[in-house]
Amino acid sequence: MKLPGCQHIVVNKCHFSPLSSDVYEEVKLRIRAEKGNDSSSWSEVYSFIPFDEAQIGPPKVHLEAEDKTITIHISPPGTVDNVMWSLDVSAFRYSLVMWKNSSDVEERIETVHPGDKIYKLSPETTYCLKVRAKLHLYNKNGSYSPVSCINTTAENKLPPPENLEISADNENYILKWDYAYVNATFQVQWFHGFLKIIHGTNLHKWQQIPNCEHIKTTYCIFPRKRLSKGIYYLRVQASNGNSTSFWSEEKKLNTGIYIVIPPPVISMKSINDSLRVYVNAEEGSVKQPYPLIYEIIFWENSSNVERKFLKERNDFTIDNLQPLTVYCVKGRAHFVGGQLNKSSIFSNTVCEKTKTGNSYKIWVIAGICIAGVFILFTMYVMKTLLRCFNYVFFPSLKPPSNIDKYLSEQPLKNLLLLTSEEQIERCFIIENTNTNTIMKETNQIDEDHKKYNSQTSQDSGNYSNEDENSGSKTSEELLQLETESSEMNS
Amino acid sequence: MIHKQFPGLVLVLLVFFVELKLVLLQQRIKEENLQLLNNLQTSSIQQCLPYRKNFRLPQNSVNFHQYPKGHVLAILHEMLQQIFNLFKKNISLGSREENHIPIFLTDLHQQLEYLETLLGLEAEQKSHAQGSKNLRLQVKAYFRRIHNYLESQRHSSCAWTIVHAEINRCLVFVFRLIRQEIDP
Repeated sequence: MKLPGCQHIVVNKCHFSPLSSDVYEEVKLRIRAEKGNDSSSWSEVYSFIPFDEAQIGPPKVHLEAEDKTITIHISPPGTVDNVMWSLDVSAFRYSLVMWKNSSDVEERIETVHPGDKIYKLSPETTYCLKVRAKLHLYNKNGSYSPVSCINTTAENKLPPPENLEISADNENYILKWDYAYVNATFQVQWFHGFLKIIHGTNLHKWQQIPNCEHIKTTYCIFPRKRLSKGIYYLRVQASNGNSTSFWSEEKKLNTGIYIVIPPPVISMKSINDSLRVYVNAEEGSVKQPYPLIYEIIFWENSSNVERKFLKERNDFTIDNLQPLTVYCVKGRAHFVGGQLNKSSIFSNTVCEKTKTGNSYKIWVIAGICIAGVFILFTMYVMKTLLRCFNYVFFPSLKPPSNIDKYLSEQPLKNLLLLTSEEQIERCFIIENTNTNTIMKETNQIDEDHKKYNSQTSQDSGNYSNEDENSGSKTSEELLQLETESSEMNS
Repeated sequence: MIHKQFPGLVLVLLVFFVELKLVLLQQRIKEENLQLLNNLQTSSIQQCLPYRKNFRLPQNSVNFHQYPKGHVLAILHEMLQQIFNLFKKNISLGSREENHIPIFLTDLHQQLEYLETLLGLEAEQKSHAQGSKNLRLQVKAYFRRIHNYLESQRHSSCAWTIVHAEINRCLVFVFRLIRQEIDP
């Protein structure tokens, strides 16, 4: 598209405004020469980002003098509708060069916000200054404003309070100042720090701190909650009867600097020859929104040799300690962040005795296990050796087991006795053995047994009149008979 | 012009900024907060749906994985700076009785100062300056679109509702970005 304002020009220079409000995007240009109906070919494309190329113009400066102080009112560079800097107005920082008109030596260079004051000047003196805007994050320095000069006024009778200092305890902020005159009363005011970087609002609206009105002390204590998290400015004014001083310098209060980090609560637990250390926030304290690093000092109770640990974790273990020894620990918390390096005080000292060493127990258990396995193994080996020994030197006289099985049966055993027994007794033994065998089967079924027994009794001459119902008695008799027969054999 | 539901939104943002500090200092942001944000979508968004606009959050064009920590801080700083610019308009539009905006801007201001401290340390490593500048310009271009939209809509109630929703979206993006930075 054609660049407005740069068509049919006869000089090699052309002025144009940003094509759109988006000055952050790349613009490409090309040029050609025209004469009559002829035209040259297009030049090489030249590309640029308007914001990159833009120069910061001078700010507008307006000065006010009171007492030994000059107030500097600054309007940011560019017009109100300026597209180039409208999103950077809050990011501008202003640097100021100032000198006494009587000397050409540049005296002070300061970074200021619009509406800031320059303090501790000489009264009734002409000061001159120039200001330029900077965008330090883009490494851009603007051009200086025209030099402005102003006379400071005659010194006020009642000087303003000086040397404001802020400190804090857990609950309160304490603002202190110096004042040379007695019988003065003071009042303290505050306002939001962010208003300093908002231009053109005229909202530099100072507010009273309720506890700090008409006070006679050169300090004022007010609760932290009155100025919660943020950046504020404080100022003090002195009064004596009908006359009042000018306001003191404005003291910046960044609440972040006054964070109070409570000491951690440390506990220890002994685990064998190790100690487990637990670090916790103080009970009831507000949860810290900041990560803390804990510095833990650890020492053996009976010695002065200290070990130092820096831990981010809330619990950790210290290993390889002497068993049954008392160790002590204390710690403190550090907050490390930018310029706000803060530390808590040390916690209480906690001591704990280690238990018997872990390794000792392991050895005992391992020893018992090894001994047990060894004993079992030895017993097994001994038993095997004994068996071999017996086999070699005292071979068994028993027949092979399969034969022995048959031998052990009653009929065969009884057969071995045949030679020394009478015929009748042989019959008896066989019958009786059968009875015995049957008895075993029929012990549980008495009725059957009775029938069977009576039946066999009929065949046997000697025992036909025997007891018909007692199987156990029959067995006893059998044993008795066996004994008798063995006696007879012998 | 202040939208009626602004206080609710500010509180959500404050929750975020508390978390933001945690994140900055290398702690994890909790997913619950993102959930909380979703739950707090106001009903009037329904009425304002016809006013929606794609502000082209520069999340797709920028692959943040490649960039060093200084760049991420720069993006974060630029975004907070621009959110501050956006909401500071409200304070000059006669909302003195609205207590939440000063609290919100105070918190933002402190965050910005803190980031500038961190960036001041980073600035010593000038080698990253060009890369982070281009990222900053992308963020600025995005906020320029938001400003233009508000002007074209004459700062109507619905326009602000849409912008609030967009800022929340932008914050979600920022937190994701930081999380990537922390847990690459």
